[in-house]
Amino acid sequence: MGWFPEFPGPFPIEAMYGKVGLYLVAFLIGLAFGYILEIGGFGNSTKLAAQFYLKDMTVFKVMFTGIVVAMVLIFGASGLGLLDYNRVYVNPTYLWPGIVGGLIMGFGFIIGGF
Amino acid sequence: MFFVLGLFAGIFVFGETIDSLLSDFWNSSYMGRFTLPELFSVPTGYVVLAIVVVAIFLFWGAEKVEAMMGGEKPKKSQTKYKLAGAGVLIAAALAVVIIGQPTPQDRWEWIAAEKQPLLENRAVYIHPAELLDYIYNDRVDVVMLDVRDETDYNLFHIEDARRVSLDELPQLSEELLQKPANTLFVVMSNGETRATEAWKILVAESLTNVYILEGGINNWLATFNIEPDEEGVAVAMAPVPVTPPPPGDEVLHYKFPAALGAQYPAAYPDPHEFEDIEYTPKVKLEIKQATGGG
Amino acid sequence: MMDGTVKKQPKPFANPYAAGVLLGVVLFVAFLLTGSGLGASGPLNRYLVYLEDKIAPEHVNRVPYLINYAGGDKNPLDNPFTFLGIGVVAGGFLSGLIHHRLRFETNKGPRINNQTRWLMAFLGGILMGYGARFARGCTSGQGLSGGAVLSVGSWAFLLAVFVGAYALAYSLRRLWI
Repeated sequence: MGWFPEFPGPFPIEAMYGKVGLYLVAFLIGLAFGYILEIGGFGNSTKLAAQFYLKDMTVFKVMFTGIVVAMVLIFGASGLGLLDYNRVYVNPTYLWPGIVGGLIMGFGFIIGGF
Repeated sequence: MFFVLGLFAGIFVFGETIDSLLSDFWNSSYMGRFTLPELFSVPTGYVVLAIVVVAIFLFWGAEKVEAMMGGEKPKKSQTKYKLAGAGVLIAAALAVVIIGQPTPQDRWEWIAAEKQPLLENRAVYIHPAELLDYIYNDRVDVVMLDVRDETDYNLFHIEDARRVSLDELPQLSEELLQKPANTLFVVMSNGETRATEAWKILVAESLTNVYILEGGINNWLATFNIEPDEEGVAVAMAPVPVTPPPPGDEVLHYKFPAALGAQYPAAYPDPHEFEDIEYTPKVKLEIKQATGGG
Repeated sequence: MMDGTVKKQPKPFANPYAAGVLLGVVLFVAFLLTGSGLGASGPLNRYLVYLEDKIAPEHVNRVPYLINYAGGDKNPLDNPFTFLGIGVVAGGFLSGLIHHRLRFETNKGPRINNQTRWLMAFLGGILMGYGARFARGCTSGQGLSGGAVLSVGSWAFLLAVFVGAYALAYSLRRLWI
């Protein structure tokens, strides 16, 4: 095994580069995530709340574009054998707690902004 | 700032109260790893395509609504980029439909180079006595999958072994992937041929700690069958070896007085009686990579 | 003609679709590298449990939910999501710095005062924190990551967030517009 892990992913980062490697990767991913959220306008609560008054659908656009693009990439990669979907973490479904939690979050969103 | 404090407070309140107040509800309607393609029983590609189309339609709707509510007007100059983007997305989604998701056969071919040697040097064939030790090992959870026909299974099977056909395995593997990391999967058939096929499917579906019962049920019976005698085992409770054994790997080498399934003493051997059997231990439990969400 | 003393104006936010595409790519890379998606409330939860464990380890060891994270010798921070969380904050600040949007401000509608807004922020925060843990993930953990891998629960959750928010939005419009 060279320095670069073999396909298909997800890669055993921890086994290959140790905990430090895994944490570094996680940090970099977080960095990119935070940066993108900020340039998307997620740092501004008025903009976020405007979403729910139908004036500015930025939240919806950014989130949904993100989901759709990632989805196409994930299943495309899975079809090509680059990513092993079976080893990807899929949030387990707890249907009703999820829905109730979602409603509570929605209320919180409006009351508190983000 | 206040918001973040509130967040912490909310999370704190949750952690403090969830176990005492609402844990029944919080743990209710658990469906495990349950995905939209399974919900609608359509291939993944079509779900992806449908979501892409709906998303593009919703984006279009969102911009109409924004304009109506007096928000920012969309700039004309961006229209062609948006159209291009939508086109690329739909094309990519169509490609996902066409490529499709890998079949167990595809998945096996990707990993065959790495995994075939395990079969050839018999690293994943475990001795019946090793399986027995793990059944009685409290730190390891053993899941036994019996891939024989229903008839043979009804005649005799190891206690707690679950019957499953080869066709059902890819579907079942989703459930098996949810098992805790200390789970040992053992597949078995009368001989080894069919169990080896089952092993390939499960390994291709990314299950770890999958092993094959060496020599199959025939070997299990040869190891643990108790000779009938006057005091202990009744004649009616002992399978009789067929001599000479019938040809073919997947044929039972024993005759059974009745279809008693797991009621034969050989289905639940006493580990103390057989603790002297020597074997080469082959099981190496691997711990899966920990994952989680936020 | 440019006056050097004029404070640099905040640059406008990126096109939402462009940001969305980038977000999707990052999410995909996260899945490809680590096998799991992104999260924001998970890391927060871990920081909190860490503090609780420092202050009252006995208590943590008595509550089943908390034991998961910090029972016995377990350190709740010993997890990649901890570092992901730090990354998110750092990334947000970095971008704010580059685009001159970093400032202390209170975003609100013109009809309420700052104190009301702060109180509401605190209340909303409580609800969001509670809701996020209740649903086993926030908008990024459940919605974004779970949505992309087509989890049924995540899609139900996403719908619920939007339904909840829109249901309440009208009656509370004074806060924002």
